Amino acid sequence: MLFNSVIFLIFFPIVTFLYFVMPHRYRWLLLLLASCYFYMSFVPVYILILFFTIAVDFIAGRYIEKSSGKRRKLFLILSILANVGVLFFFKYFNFFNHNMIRAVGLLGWNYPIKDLTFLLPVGLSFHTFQSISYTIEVFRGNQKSERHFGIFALYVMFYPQLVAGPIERPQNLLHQFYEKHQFDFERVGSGLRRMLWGFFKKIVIADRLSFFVSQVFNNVYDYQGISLVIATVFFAFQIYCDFSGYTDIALGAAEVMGFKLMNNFNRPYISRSISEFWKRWHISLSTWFRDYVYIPLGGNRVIWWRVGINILIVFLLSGLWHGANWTYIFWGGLNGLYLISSSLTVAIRKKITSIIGLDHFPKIQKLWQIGITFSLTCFAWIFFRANTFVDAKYIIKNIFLGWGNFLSNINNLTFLKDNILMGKNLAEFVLAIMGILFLLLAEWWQEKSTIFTQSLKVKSFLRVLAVATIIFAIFFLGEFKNQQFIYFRF
Amino acid sequence: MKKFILGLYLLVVVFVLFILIGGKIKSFGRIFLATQKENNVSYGDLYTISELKAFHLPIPTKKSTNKSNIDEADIFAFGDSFLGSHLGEKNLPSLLEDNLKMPVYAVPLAVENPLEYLERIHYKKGATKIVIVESVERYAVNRGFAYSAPIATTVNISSWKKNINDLDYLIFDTTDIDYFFKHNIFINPLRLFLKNLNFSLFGRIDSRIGAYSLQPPMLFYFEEVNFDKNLRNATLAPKVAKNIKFLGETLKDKYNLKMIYVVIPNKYTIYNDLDKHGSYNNFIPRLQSELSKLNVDYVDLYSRYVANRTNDRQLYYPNDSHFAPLGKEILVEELDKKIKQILKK
Repeated sequence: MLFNSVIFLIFFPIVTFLYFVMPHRYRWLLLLLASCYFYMSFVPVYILILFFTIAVDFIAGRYIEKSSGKRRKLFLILSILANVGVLFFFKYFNFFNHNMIRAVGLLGWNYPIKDLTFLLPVGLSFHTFQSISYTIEVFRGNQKSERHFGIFALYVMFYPQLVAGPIERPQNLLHQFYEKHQFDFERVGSGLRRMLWGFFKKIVIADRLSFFVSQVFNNVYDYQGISLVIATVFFAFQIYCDFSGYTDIALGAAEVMGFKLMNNFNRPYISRSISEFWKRWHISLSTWFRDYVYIPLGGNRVIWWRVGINILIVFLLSGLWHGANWTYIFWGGLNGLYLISSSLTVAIRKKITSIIGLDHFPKIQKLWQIGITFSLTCFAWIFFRANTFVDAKYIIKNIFLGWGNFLSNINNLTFLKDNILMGKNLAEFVLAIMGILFLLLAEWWQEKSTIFTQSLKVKSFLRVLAVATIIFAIFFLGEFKNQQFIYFRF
Repeated sequence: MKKFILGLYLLVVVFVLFILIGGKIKSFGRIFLATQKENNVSYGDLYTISELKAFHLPIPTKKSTNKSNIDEADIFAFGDSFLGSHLGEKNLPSLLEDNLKMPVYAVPLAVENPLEYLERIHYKKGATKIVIVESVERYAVNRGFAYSAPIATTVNISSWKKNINDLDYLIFDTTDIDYFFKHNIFINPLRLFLKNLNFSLFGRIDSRIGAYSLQPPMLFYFEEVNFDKNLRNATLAPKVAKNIKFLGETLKDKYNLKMIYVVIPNKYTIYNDLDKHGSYNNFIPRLQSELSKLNVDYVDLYSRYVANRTNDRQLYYPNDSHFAPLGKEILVEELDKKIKQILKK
């Protein structure tokens, strides 16, 4: 079920209503059944895969807690292998197979194994990682194993965050299912406002930008310089509004029922460095990799070149987590290289800043740093969005060199319509730009205060006005085509 | 204030239950639909998509009389919704029957490959008959590639699988709920108001409308506009023509059926000058020239439509993607000539 679908508008009020009128001891069952329905509305039979993961990790958790020494480790390894095995089978097998065919083909041998024709279960990477985090935390002794199978199942498949996170930790979420949540007006209001903001980002901004982005990235060879730059920048905002919009709806929906999920985004495009960007972007995944991969590898407590390798491993894995394609792996690797080179050049950059006197103008310096970070991020997004490596190469080449046509046709309205508006009318383009500006303004305001908490202090009529305006904007300016969230594929 | 919010929340719950019931129980939902079906009148498929007042123009519909079956028919007609269209005039098979005084069998519209259909119904070679294979221009390429030797497939759906499918539909299919949500008497007026306001302020229109004109009013389906853009430099025509020839030859050799191929121009092909950025990729002339080289019998509707472009009567409806009576009459006239020519031989 998509959050931006009519059925969710029916599902959510009914489930929430039943949740509050139902005795506390049955609420877990209601949420579990609702989550099953939510998940099964994509491909019903895939619920079996989810229950396999849940059963394996539930049993593993119990055994890990009971045992010690090598047996304890063995159960953890078995659990991780089962989870990663499912992930590999459904998500990476064909990618692996294609590469094997190529490699074996180079040797002139026959490779008889055929591709699998399964659809990728929605949100597989998210709930697999969430499930893995449970067994690891039990293994580390940070979390007691769960004794209630239903509650554990709910931990893995709690519907607001089931298909695209945030990837929760058991310490944060599991205990909340035992707590009795009352209907609290302030909290419900705050949750609904957060959901509304999420819908706005998804339906008004992301889905409008998606037209321009898809038009260019799916037909890259029809476009050059200016169009490629616009599409790349638009994609940066599209993916942000799409994913953070989803997160806001998820967090808001959970908040309405009294659950507090971890924050996943913290205004990433105002980051002044790549390392800051990764502390602000998809926080639940970044911290997952930090806690379960980077630190176990030695983190930054090892010799400098090992730190670099650790960073690179984490980012390559992060790229692979996003998708079974070399473009994603390259995107991850590129971000890793950004981080490594930024930590290696700290002293040089400080020196240059001091020589040109930029450190005397902190605001300009801040803007410069934000601009550079945003540009580097956009450059990496090209690999994330491009359909193939060859497309990405074409885009990069033409972003730098493909300006001849634009300069010679600057007075040609048809050319401008085809290359800047991508065939859409001017109003659509202006609305897309205004959406981005509105987002930046709202984020700036959030940075200064916090829209969801600070707004409580704003006079109530202003708050009602703001909410009414956003509702009107969603219905008036929204794109209602039930477009799937980008991160559902991962 | 709290009581008001609580009341509002309960109202929302009641409303979503109403949508759920109205969407799933059709007899209940129908009572609350904003637009009730009118007899003998349509407002066009493109109006249904755009829902803009400027294109709310009634089109009379006519009942079709053609009821021939495949055994008694002398002519079979394979095609798409243009065959079934009964806007302003009876449908094409009925008109042909009236004109030629010969029974015409209209094959169900879902058939993409005539060879597969004939194989499936175990059609046996018999007396010479005529087959009209019609395709609208925008689907002519894909259909052209579908004209191939049939692959034997048997689809057996077990009863338990069917039950599961039915259950799946009942529980998870939300098409009717979506429709009822958008078209019930409470939401529909607001939705139409916002849609029309959006159009008048920003020129925003449903993305399935690829282009439009207000003077004169004319809507174009996005697939037609995209077809024009995508096939500007393509060299698919010879390949499609080769497949059409294969179809004609196989029909003749295997079933003793003589094929007449008809490609109906997209509305955008004829009226693209109404779009500021309109143009035509010349797909039909290119395809027809290839068909001529291969000696395939076809009806050149394109030239006749272009010649009648300035006629007082319209070839296509402004708010529908199908042809108007004039377009249909020209096709009947051309088919009549062609069939008589073939019968003379």
